[in-house]
Amino acid sequence: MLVLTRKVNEGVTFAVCRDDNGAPVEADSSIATALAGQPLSSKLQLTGVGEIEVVVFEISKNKVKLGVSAPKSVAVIRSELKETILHNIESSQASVSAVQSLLKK
Amino acid sequence: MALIKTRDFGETEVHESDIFTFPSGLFGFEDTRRYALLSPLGENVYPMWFQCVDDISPCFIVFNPALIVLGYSLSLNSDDRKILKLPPVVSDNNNSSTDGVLNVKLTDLSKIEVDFSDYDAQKPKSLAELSEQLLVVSIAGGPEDYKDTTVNLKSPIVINIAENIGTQVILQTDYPFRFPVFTGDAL
Repeated sequence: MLVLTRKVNEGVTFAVCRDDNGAPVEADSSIATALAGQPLSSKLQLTGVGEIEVVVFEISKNKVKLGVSAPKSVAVIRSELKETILHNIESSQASVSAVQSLLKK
Repeated sequence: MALIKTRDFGETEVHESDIFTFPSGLFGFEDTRRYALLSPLGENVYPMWFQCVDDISPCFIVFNPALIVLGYSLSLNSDDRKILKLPPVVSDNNNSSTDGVLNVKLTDLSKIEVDFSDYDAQKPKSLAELSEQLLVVSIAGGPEDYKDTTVNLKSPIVINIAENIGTQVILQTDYPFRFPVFTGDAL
């Protein structure tokens, strides 16, 4: 995992790079240039760059307030949501034996 | 009374007052909106069965988190409170950028403590009843052996009994998703 240090109002930009056919292409250092709106000198041909920006808004005791801007095709999900969905699905499939022992208790 | 098909008890009659609407479903089950709370072990005895009314699945086994963790508490944000049709708290009304929360603490089996300091003094009179109006349950995991049963303390189901409406919330508090019921150490 990449670890970065950021201050309040500093952010991180993610660029999802795709070619003419929409297939993902490996990013190189010229991406930042492309994001800044400058013509690319490298061999990389980009037609679709999806930009996701995360900015640190506020830091308090043990909380960080983040701002996220992303294209509509990118879902921004709190990690707990994924975990909750997994737990719900798993829980809805209780085994018959476990249910019976709970009823006999 | 309504006759419903259940996963574990065949066809069962339930009181209309035990049927709750979940406008946004549960996480992962967004399209299932109506659930009944069944207490096969006796009135107010946990675990209870949280059974979809319109189909035999999904069905969940739920516990009262207050009986498992002393002082279990939760905060309801403005979205949760809107779904639950709870009265607005003070910070909903001024233009403060911080989202007001309603803090609720479960003291024991039947008692729920509501932090009224979040409310304006002259706000709705229904407030006095608020603490008797909320029901909070935690979904149990479904292991092979019931002794290994865990409950999800992080994302409880909150029901407003007075409105027969409920929602699942994800708490900011650092509660575990899988807390052992029968062998648990106190948090």
